[in-house]
Amino acid sequence: MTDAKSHNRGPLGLGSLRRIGRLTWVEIRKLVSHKLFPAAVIITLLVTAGLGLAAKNFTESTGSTVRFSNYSLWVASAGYGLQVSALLLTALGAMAMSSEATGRTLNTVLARPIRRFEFAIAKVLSLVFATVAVVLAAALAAWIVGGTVPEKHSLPIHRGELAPRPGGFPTYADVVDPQYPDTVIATRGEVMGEILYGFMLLVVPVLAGVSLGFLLGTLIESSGLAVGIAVGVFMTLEATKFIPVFEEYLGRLAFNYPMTRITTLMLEAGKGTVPQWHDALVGVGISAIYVAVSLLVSVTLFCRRDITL
Amino acid sequence: MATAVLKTIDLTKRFGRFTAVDRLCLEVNEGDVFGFLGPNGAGKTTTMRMIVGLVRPTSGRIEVNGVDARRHFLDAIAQIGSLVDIPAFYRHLTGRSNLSLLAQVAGGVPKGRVDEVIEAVGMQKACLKKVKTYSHGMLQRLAIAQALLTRPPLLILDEPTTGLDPEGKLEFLHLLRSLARDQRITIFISSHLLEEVEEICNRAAIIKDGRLLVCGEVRSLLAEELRTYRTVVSDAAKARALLDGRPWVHGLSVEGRRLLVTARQDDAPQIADTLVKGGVALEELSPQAKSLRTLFMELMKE
Repeated sequence: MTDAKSHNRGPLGLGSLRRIGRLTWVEIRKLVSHKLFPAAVIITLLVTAGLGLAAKNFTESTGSTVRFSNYSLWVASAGYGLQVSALLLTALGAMAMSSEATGRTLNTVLARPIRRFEFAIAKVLSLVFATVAVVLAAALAAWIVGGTVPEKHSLPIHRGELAPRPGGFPTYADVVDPQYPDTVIATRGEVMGEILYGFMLLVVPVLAGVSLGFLLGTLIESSGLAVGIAVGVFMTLEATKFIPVFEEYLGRLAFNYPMTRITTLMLEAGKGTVPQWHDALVGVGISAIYVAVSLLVSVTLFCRRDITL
Repeated sequence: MATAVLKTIDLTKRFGRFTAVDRLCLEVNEGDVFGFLGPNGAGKTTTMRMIVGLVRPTSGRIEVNGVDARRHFLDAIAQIGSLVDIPAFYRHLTGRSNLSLLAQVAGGVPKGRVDEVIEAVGMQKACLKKVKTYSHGMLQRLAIAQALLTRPPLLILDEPTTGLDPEGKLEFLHLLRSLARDQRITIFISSHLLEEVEEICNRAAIIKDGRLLVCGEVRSLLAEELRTYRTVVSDAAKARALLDGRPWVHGLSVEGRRLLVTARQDDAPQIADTLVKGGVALEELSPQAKSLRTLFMELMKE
């Protein structure tokens, strides 16, 4: 027999939390064993590293006066890499529930001593895990590429004469004033801290795309259709960035807007400037509202629905 | 007195204006192999989905071993192992990984139970292969294995032999029989295969348009309900005219001098009486051997 009998009191009792924990672990196991999630991580690693290496080699080989510092290469390649990864994660979010419906595995899983909302929350938590994993993968790949920037380029862009820096890998060092190389503007720890905070904030808008996909995947039982529509909506929102009138009025409401804003602030941090994070927090807040509303609607709809597949 | 493992009380499900299940009252007792019969669209699968919590009843109650499934869903569902509709698993995983995941979902499944159920369904080698390579028969076996993971006292199986070849069906029915006999599991099974239900079930219910038509011991259903009587008479046309339209005649057909009359067992003497009083010489009146199929077809005509 199962442990349902001893923990069947109240919607969010200890038993419920235990089941959510157990189900989350099951969902993560399913996610990791599925092709799309490892593919998303690998693609993130490759795209991020590829973008970083391309940018670095382009500026070096063309003799451009514009040089990436190690920090700016780290942030820029991770930021652009994550734009691609966010699309993959949106598709993953759309598949989370719809693939269970299409494959009819909902019949097998839900006829167990678990509550529906526990299953839905476990799905959401596994998607949070996937999002964090992908953001970390992008951050790591870009950090490695950024860490290979030769010491002569290890200062921020347009900083005049460069001070001698320690060689080897990684080349991340304190940011110094180019006019007075002995003056440290920001220590390596401070810059790293700001950039990592930026990566943490980036999780929220990426998660907004994932939760949009999750909502569509809950509403649409066809897995292919759900993924198609989720990707279409994501691309449309992304496109608003390039249409001035939309960017001004609607673009700021799109969850991908804060991604660009956060990346810009992280680049500022890489130059030793203290980033004005409050500029990005409004966008992050809007993304958080997207996440909360999408997930609340998804879980509520899922719990009320008859499974008649 | 037999203990009811599963009970539905006035169970009703409406989808908009359509009533899929209409005030269904069933009682499945401990140790029963209970056949749940009905044509396509009769409401069998909807009933089973309501029992396992996939579909919410519009009204009525479900009790599993006396536990109200609506109020104490977890306690009720913990006593059920089910296969509703086609067996569905994560195709990219092996059979064993699927069982291991489902055991973890259920919780409290002891280590080693996965191996036990794999052995019980005879899939020791096959369970190491990915599910996407499985035949339908293997999927059915795996479905039974997952249903047995929590050692449930009640198995709910929705048309489990659909898509199996004759050999596969025989093997599957043998497996069900051994589960009922050796592990004392109560089985509630829906099927289109009436002969097989007749063979393995001790009790059965037949529904149509969501309503219960008959329910009881298979033997008594076959004995007490409508039967077809073969009569040989001197004038078949006259005999037909005499019997046609009588309220207790449920079916009538003429084959030469023979007349096939469907009526309740209690009404058999009336057949002879009406014919003799009407001046028709009766040479033979005998009940035809009855099967669940005959009963089913008669009820469907009604």
